[in-house]
Amino acid sequence: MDSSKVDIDQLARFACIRFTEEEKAVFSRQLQETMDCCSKLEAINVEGVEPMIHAFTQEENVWGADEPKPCAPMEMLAKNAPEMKEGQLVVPKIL
Amino acid sequence: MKEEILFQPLKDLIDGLSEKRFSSVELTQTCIDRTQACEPKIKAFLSFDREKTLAEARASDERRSKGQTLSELDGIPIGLKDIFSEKGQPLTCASRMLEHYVSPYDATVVSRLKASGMVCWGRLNMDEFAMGSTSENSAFHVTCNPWDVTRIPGGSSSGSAAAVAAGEVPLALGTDTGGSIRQPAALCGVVGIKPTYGRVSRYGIVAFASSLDQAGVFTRTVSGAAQILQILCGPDLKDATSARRPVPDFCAEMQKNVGRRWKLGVPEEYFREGLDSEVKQSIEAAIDFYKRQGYLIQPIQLQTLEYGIPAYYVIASAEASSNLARYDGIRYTYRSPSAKTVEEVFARSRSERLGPEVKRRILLGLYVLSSGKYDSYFYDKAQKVRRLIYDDFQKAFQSVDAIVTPTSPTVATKIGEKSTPLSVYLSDIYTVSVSLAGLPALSIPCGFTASKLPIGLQLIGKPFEESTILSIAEAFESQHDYWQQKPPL
Repeated sequence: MDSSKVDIDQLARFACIRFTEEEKAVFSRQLQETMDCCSKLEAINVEGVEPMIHAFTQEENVWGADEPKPCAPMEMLAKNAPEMKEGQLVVPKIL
Repeated sequence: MKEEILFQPLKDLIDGLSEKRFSSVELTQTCIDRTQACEPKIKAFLSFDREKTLAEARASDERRSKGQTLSELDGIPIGLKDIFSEKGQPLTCASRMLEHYVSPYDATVVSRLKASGMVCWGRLNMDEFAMGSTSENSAFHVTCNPWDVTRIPGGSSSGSAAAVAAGEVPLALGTDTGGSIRQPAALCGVVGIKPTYGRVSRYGIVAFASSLDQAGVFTRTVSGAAQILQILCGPDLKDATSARRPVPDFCAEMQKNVGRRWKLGVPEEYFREGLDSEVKQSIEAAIDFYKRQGYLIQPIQLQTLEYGIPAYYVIASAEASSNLARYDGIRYTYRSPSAKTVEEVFARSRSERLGPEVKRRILLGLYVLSSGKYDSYFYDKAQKVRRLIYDDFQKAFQSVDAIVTPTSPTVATKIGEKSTPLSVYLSDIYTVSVSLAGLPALSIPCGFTASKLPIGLQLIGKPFEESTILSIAEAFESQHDYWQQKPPL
């Protein structure tokens, strides 16, 4: 695998995670080692093989009736929010 | 009440309660006392709520005194991996991100335990967001193996396995995405079963890799596992991927199967380089036992074994990167106090509170999903390879009833011994393929090394045939005393 293709800055942006320069070096190296292991996949002949997106492919999904039902009370859910005001989640100004 | 009871089969606990030899409060208090005695060494728990647990036990005793027990398991204590929602209780997933999160509702499996009258005792340690196989990725502390406290208990359901092995609780729930029940069960010398994907609802379980995650149970004996599975399994409208299939009476099926001689497949690929010699000896002795019992032992091939690790880490990490996007500093308790803009809320909250392994998996997942890599690694390769692995098992199951392998290539390693993430990933080699194929599998104790470290035997079944592997496991357990041995605490 071509190591130059691991762009840690781009991945960090996608991940919304900030890294120090030292962390970037460590994570790049570890990611590279893992991808080198994963590169075994490249050699496998998968011509004509259907991708398996789920182990559940033989089963039917369980569906409920499309009816409103009570859910966990708002005050219980709100307890886990970092900041609430008048029953609403507070977030920094977006626009 | 003597703590010895916590090392007995579940049946003895049920009988003791029904014959009123002890109450649920006495049994639960024994768990609490044992936990307090063991925790300084084992550190299996992240938190516990004595008053809540004793109140549940008192309610159970009250029901029993009125002849209104909810099930035969009414009053039996069970531990929960800190990944299951239990209303009003903390749920951290061993992450600083969720350090102050309190579950607003019960997971379906927890509702089912409670509807059976079971008593939930404590929140058990794990690798952060179930990513890992040592407990070293817990943001709070490392759990120690009760057989040797300088060693790992396995993971990610580390606390569940260690607590059952140490007798802190007779049963515990765990989850298994790539081996997170089976591997710690093997390393701690207890029974651990991962049912078929879809058998047990995932509602209320923190998501890691949704196409792989499955709840299961740790117990001292195989019949105990069957009894708890009976409660956990079955369709749930709150999880669209829970299977509609009827759930058999596992214990009745096992009873029917007593004396049956099964056909076991032994894949030669699982006995090659990398397998510890003492583990190999023990597994071969177990296979020899089955042979002497009249089972037909058939060599089989599972040539896709070596593809399991790369396919698993690509798929699981891709799913994880998506599932963990929700921890954004907006809804789940933590927001960086220094963040001023929305972008800073996301980035600082995640950077400050997610641990290194979680960050690694997110990066890996985003890498394989990124433009140019998606086709070559994720969709076009890993998912097609997943199909090859599934087909490989299907082919094997045309000629055998179950497959027998080691659960882990080694016994428990020293804490800190594995120095790179990749070296930890590679230890999952015997378990991840089973998860990719969605098959049921369990680990039972099948021996000890000379230095008295437990060894686990993995039995893999056809989809939805948990009864078969439970029956085969019990046939072994009934003729051996490995499950009766206690760690030197």
